[in-house]
Amino acid sequence: MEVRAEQITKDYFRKHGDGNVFTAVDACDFLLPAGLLTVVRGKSGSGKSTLLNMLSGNLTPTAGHVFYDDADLYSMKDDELSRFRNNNIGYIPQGRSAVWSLTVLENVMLPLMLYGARDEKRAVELLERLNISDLKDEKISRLSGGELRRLSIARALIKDPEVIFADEPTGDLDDVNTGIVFEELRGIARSGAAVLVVTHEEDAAAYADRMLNMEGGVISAEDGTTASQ
Amino acid sequence: MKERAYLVRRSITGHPVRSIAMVLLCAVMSGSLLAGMILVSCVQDGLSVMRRRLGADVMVVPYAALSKKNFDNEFLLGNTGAFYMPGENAGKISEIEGVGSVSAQFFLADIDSELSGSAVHLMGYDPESDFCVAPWIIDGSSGTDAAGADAGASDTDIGGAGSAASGSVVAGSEIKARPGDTVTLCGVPVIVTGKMAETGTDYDTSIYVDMATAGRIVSQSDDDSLSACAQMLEDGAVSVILIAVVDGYDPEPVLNSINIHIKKVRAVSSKEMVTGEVSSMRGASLIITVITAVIWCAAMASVFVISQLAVSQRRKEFALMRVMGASRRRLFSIVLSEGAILSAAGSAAGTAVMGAALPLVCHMTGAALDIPVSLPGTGAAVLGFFLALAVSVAGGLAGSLAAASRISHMDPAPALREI
Repeated sequence: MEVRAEQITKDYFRKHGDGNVFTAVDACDFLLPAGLLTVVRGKSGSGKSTLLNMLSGNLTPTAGHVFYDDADLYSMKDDELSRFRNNNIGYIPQGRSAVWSLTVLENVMLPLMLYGARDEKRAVELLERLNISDLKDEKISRLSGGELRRLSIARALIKDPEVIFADEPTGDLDDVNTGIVFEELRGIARSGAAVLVVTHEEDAAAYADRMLNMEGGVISAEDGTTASQ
Repeated sequence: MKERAYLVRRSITGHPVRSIAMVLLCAVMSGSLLAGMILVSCVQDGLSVMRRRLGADVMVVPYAALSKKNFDNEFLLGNTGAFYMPGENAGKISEIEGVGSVSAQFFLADIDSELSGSAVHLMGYDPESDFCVAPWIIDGSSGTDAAGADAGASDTDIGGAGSAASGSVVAGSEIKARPGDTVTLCGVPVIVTGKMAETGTDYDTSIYVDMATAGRIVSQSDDDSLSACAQMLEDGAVSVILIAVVDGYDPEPVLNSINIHIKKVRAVSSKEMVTGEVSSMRGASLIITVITAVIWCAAMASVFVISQLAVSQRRKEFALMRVMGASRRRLFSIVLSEGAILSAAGSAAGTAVMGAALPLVCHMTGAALDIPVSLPGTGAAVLGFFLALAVSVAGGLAGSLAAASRISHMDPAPALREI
């Protein structure tokens, strides 16, 4: 599946400050190719998470379109868009994100359970792949940061999506766990999914198939290509 | 659907403090509403019971009776006490202009018995002229046509044994005897002819006998408590004369005329006696209503606050569900379902607990306010139960509705970035 954004931009209106409009993402074209790990690197406030959320269907752009193959994401109504996201997109949020009243296994199955399904076998397979299967019946509060991040990856993969988005997936991890997470994401990309990671980590370049930088809402490529290439 | 129900259930059990708080608040809402509705109904029924109990527009009592502490309340509750006046007063009163019906009653004694948990008030009355006792009879009759014993009727001995004779014997609702039973009053067997409905007054622990039966009891009994009234009975004395004025006639001139022309008695208007009670009952109704409203509103506000706090604390969880693909509608239904379950559980518990405690609560309220109370009928009670339940569930849902709406329209991205 090809993810393609055309002239997407995100403006926020502010009451105070210079002018009334703050542009988080300047108008740009963006292509997310399948089979590659694409990394967008930038400092906090550069607009990278805003870009990721627009591409993943979680934030309506002020202008522009996002296409998944021929499907225009933001022309869909909320029910349809939500279902589309559930079926086609895996999302790894930053920080400690989980439903605290569910066990590890149930958290992995959350995308399924939201639509009345359950696949414990698949969930356990993913936990084994990420070396946390022994924690499947544990409460979330008992997990370390690294374990929680691996849970998030397992959850993002439960429906075998064609597109994966990861927002600062290694933000609060040590070097060892950072390496584990990036290796896993690269492996997912190798299996054919389109993977986009936004991060401030300098070391991310070592894992990326495609490296982009973002500053002040403007995206640029390190190798002289554009984000849409 | 099953998995979504599972998510809702896990959310409820996963946040026990919040869940218990919501259940308790909804229980308070429903319990207080039910209690308030039933208590106000009880108080208002008590007033109509008092009015009906009197039946009479004017009551004439001996002067000495007025010195009795809490005379008004006790009389309204059916307790005349051992005071007597000449019986010919009834005849004099019946000649006064405006007087319609006249009926006299005679206080015999308060006796300890096995027929009731408290003292039995033994009263003599005239069934022929009576218009106060008869309206309360729900089983049997006043016995003016002379009732016989039913097959299988039981004997209850209070103080002796002997063959029963017929006459009018009407038992209050708390007397353990039914029409046809032979009971022994102060050693004298009599046959119960009628049973009264519950009045919430001392009528309930009274036995009314016609004057002939009263005379037989007094003459044949060895009971010392009857010795005080034996002479009075022989002299034809009475304790109270009840008067119903002619239709359309104002009781006031009748009352005044009695007070002027009949010596050593005092005529009081039942309306006058009741007026003070009406005011206090209205006041009691208002206080109960206000307290109920305050409690309900406070509980409702707390439900609203807790619902808002609960979703605020779980913003990140709900944001996660959004990015996992939960639509706004789905998220809304998850949050609302949690609120619905908790408010239904709490409201049901509150109405059930209060429903079970209501007889005691009504009784205590009646005792505290010194008014007769009678529980509402089954139909009214069931209606009150479901009304309290429905209103409280709706209140709990309304509290959750705002929270569900807010969280379903939340922008997930900033929420996910919260620490």
